[in-house]
Amino acid sequence: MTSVCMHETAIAGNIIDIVTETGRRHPDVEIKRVRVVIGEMIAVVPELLLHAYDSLITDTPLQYSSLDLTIIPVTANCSQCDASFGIDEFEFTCPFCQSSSIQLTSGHEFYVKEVEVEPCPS
Amino acid sequence: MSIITVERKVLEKNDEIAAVLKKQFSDQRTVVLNLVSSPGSGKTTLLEQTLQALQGQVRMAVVEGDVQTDNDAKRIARYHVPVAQIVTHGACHLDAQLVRDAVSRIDLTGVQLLFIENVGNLVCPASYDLGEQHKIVMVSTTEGDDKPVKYPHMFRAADLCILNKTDLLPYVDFDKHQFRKNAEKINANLLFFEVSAKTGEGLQDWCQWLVDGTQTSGN
Ligand SMILES: [Zn+2]
Repeated sequence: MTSVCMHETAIAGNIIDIVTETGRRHPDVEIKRVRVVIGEMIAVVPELLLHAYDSLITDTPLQYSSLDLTIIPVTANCSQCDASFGIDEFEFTCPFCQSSSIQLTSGHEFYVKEVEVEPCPS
Repeated sequence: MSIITVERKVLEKNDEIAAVLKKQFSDQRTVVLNLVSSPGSGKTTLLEQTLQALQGQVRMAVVEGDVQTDNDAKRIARYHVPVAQIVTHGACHLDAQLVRDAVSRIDLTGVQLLFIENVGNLVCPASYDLGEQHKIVMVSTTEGDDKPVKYPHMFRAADLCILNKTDLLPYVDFDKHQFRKNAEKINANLLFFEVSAKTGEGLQDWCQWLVDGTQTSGN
């Protein structure tokens, strides 16, 4: 890649915006943990995302929080034989009947699920 | 320790703007194509050939994404189509907000085909909906035929795949059948075009597909 590519920084920024808004609605608590659910179909490198998050929260109200990623594997359902199975190595074919007519049933998730908070130290 | 439920999509902002764009494009009956590839695959050259071939037949416009310069927009402007440049200043993908700003600077009235040339990168653009109708992934024969395996997210997100620089096939170590097999394992619904933007080989089929697309969209 010729350009410095860190779209994880932009993504971490989105997460921080969402969590900051949540924090504003709950001024009496401090956010300790941010739980994000991320499917394997999302082109994001978890380590880079964690790293980007940590560097962006320095000197912000989120500075004592940490990001917690739950990775969701890719699963599918075969339209041909109705089998359900996991997708490994991005091989999008049914392992039972070899059909490529399949519907993904998980792997596209990408959301901030919840935050763990503690009462503000007063 | 207590829990506050959030349940918000990480890319919600982008997706909201993309939905507005999608509606705008469909109201205007503009077919929008988001062109992605690695740097140097020949996206701009293919665009130039396409603009030339369809001149007078289809009303077209271009949004040019580039990390640093506006050189590509200057190349495109020679074909007398509305063109808007986005310089991302290092960022590795276009997002819906950037595209919205860009299209607000050009007159899309009557435009049947809008090409968005994304930044040269096969990873990040996979995540960003730009309100387009088709994501098109382009690979040239000077790259590896294992490209789909290396960038599965993009090949899964795309619905069309262009193999460029077919004129070089006799001279490079690129197995186009293997390439197609690799791509189809990831996305069985991919539509393939083989072109040489340099010699014009295969351009006719590609242009015909574009013309058909503008017609089914009601123009
Ligand atoms: Zn099956």
